[in-house]
Amino acid sequence: MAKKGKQDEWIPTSCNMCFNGCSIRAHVVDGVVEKLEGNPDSPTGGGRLCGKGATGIMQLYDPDRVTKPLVRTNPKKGFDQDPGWKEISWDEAYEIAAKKWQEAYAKGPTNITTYNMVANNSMFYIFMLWSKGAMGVNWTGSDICGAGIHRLYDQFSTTGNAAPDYRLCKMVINFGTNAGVATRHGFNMSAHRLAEAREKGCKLVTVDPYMGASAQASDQWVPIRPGTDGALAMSMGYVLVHELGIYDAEYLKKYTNAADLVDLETGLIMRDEETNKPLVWDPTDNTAKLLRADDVQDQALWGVYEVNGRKCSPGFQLYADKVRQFTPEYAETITTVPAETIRQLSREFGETAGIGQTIVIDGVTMPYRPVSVDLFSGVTRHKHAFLTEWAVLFLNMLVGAYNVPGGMISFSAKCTGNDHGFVSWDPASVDNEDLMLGHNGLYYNTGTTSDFQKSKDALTTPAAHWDKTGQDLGLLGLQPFNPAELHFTYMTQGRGKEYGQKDQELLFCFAGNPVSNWGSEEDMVRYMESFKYVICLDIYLSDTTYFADLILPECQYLERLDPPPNAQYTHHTPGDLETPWAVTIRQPVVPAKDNCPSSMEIILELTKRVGKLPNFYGLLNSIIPLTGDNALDVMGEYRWEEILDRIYKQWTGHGLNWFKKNGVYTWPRKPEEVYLYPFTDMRIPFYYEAPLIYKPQVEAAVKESGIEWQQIEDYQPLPGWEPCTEFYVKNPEYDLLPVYYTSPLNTDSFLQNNPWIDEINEADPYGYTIEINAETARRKGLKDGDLVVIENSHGSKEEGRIVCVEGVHPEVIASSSGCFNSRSEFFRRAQGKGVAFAKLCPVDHDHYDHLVAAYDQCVRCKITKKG
Amino acid sequence: MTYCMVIDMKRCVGCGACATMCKQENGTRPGVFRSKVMKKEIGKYPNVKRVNLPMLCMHCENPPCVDVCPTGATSKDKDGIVTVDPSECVGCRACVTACPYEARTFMEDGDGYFGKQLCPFEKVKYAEHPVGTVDKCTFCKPRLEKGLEPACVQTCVADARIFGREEDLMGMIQRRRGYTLRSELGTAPHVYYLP
Repeated sequence: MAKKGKQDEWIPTSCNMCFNGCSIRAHVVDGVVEKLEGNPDSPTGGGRLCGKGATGIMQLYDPDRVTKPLVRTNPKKGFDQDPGWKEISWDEAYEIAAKKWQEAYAKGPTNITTYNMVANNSMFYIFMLWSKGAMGVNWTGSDICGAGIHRLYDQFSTTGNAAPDYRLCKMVINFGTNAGVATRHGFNMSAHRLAEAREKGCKLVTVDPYMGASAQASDQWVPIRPGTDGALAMSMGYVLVHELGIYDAEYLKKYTNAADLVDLETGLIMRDEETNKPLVWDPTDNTAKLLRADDVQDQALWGVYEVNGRKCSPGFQLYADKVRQFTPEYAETITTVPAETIRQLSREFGETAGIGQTIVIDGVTMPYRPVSVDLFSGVTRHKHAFLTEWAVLFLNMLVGAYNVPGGMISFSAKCTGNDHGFVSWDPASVDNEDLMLGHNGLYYNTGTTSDFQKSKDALTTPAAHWDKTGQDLGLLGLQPFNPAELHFTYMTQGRGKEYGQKDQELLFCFAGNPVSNWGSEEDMVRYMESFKYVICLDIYLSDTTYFADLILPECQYLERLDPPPNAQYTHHTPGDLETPWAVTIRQPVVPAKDNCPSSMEIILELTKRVGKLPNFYGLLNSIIPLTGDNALDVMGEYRWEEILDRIYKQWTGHGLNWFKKNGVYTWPRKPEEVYLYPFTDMRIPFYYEAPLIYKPQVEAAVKESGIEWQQIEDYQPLPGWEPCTEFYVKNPEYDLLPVYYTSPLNTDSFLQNNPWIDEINEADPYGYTIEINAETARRKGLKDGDLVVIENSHGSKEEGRIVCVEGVHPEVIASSSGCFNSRSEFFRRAQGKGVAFAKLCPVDHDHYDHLVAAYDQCVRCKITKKG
Repeated sequence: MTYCMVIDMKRCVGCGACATMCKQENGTRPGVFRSKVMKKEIGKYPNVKRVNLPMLCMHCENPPCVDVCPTGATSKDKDGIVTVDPSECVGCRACVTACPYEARTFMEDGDGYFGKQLCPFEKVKYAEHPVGTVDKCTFCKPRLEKGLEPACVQTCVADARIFGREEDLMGMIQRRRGYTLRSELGTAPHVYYLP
């Protein structure tokens, strides 16, 4: 309703206070943003806006935001140095950036790395592709949370991200995640679904050393010693298989390769020499037969057989053998979770799965398994993360809960496109064989084929290699399971010689804050200082900018025209049957302060100045894809608005102007796009032979490299659990394990300067504190409010005030965010507040998972009262 | 007719969206939270519960704040909403002390969140909240007049809040064993919690 004589409008756009990009509407009155709220027309957020999203206005009007290009005048870098920022014109800034880029590029493309994180997530994929595909340089992402996990979701549910089918679920076990409650991809969309399910009786259990948001909302909190989730999961597998005999035999035989016979000597699946089809054992006539041959009446899951003179067993038997050592009594000694609790959890999970149940959806009878085990950040931040994540996610498969109603389903398992040119994908089309293994090309956009294809290719061309040309600073050649995570560069950059690789000279850092988001300050400062030139593209002068030479500011999201949020295959929008597909917009609702451009405009101008526009246009033509009238003439020149107009037209038939007015375009999701089973007979891997194929190849590449690589033994065909480096207490003084958690209001470092969030953190009894178990504190002679020093055995320290609580494991201290305690004086409200447990984690081989480059944050610390 | 709000504690995830959305909607000054989430722990490790308690003005049937207001600035309207008329409020703070739910805040100074210089949002919004008076939740009365729900209800990511006429909701509240906070005081709140 317009106020008289005032310019008053509601403009559809998208939030950017976290990576989810929920659709919002901005109320703008006479040029002032007065309100942001969820856009009810869009399934992306569904009209709701979370606590972070509602603070967006305070970011827009934050005077600490940087809006003019700055160049460093003080050549000395460091937190104790004033960079002496000098304002320059945009033309000068672009000239400097292009010159530095070209100089560095002339020494070799891998002399440059771009870096980005999620502070502008609409740009995430396009920036990555721009870096690698158009500019031909390295790209570093820092997906600390999902290392290994997205890879496993690919493996089991096809596309990078999965979630319980909350609407139909009756039991959810969250391992180290607040999914569906307070954080993670699409939290705003899943919170009400899980809340509704909980109200209807869905049991929520949270396994976590800290009683965070999910545990608070849970019916049962299972405190666990950090780094031991895999042991608990293996033990649940033990109880289900050996004590209760609960597993979905029909599903395992039909939709997984659990019955495929495995050669007990080589560990490889037995295949028919002529057809290369796997063999199964038919117990009805005690004969080995070709998988899915007409005469197969049943498939054995148990037993040892002899086929063609080789001893073999079904993969299921081998899993059963492997979990045998993880009795609840043994697992209790590792996890501190009582054996009785492990049995109770396993029984409830198995019984609630209701194996054999079906449900009719749209006239189709489908399997119905209303249980899910989910996991995220808490589980990945360990050495052996891949094995552990695998062990946890394996439980869903055991009870037949992947890709079926009520169970664990992909955010976007399959897309049949729309009536226009929206991208379609279908797991069956990737590998038209019996085993389906993910689309990591979709999530990571690596352009690679699926993992299954990769493992088959490895039979002829090694999946691991040592790069003698020195272009592999991320050591990806040694990590065939790592699709693209260049986390090893935090360790190798600046030490290239030790690794036989060339150091990078130019860092182009965008929407990320590497100094705060990874490991110890000493290591991260070394990483930053190892670059000869650093360009930061950000909205704030974060801690990282203390090591930058040039600042290219981008305008704030309410001032910005971005690529369509979440367009990259809806990686952040959990898609269930009631969530339509959506293409949305992020557009300026007010003019940009100081006419500051968007990051897309900045990279377009930089691309032009270094003469790479044709590459970028060609890339856009191929990845969107832009075809027919929408295709870009690679020799032409376009404004960003024109390019975006074509993207929208291609995907929806509507142009930019339509989106500016309407904000969102939707079309319904079909059951076969949500539930793969029973619509496909592609199988998921129960017994995964790829690691065995990779293992000798990794060994050979490592030998050639001369690097002291670790965890070759982790290349196993089944999940497991191994203790991380600092699992055992070596020095009794260093007995505590710091963990950090995300709260609904504190996810990324760029939120910390927001005055409303800061005000709530200040009032929160746990906000900027270190939480310690009250009994542990008493034993150590500490009390509420004590100022303490937390110190690891590697020389890193953090200080903070403790609060004695009951909601934390006795061996653990907990703190919010992990990246509080900003050092930047240009980040005025955040500076010096809270503690940064991330800074207690050394960046070294002992704290890296060598399969998927996960980062181990289990670091034993001692606590002492200060003064 | 009496308005009431029902907060489903089983659904609430303690995310604080109610608190920040309220700040936006009502443009309240620093230090003022008409809506907020209190936290407390009950029990001993490992048998512990952490409770997120969303708080706002309880819009009591018998509001102690109305009784103590010397000027009549605080009053209860025909729909049961307790409001402060800033033009009549003298800032004596008797109501702040009288309220058992800490739902009222006295606005002491005119600084904004970024210091003395108010940002454009604050310039518009703070005009409605004069310094020297007391601020509190109004169930988003201006929104109700437009036929909208209170902002905290509209945005709740877990759909934990229900707003409506008490006559319509009382059956459900009783059936689900809804309770009020500090009922022993006889304030008879119109904000109910479902266990």
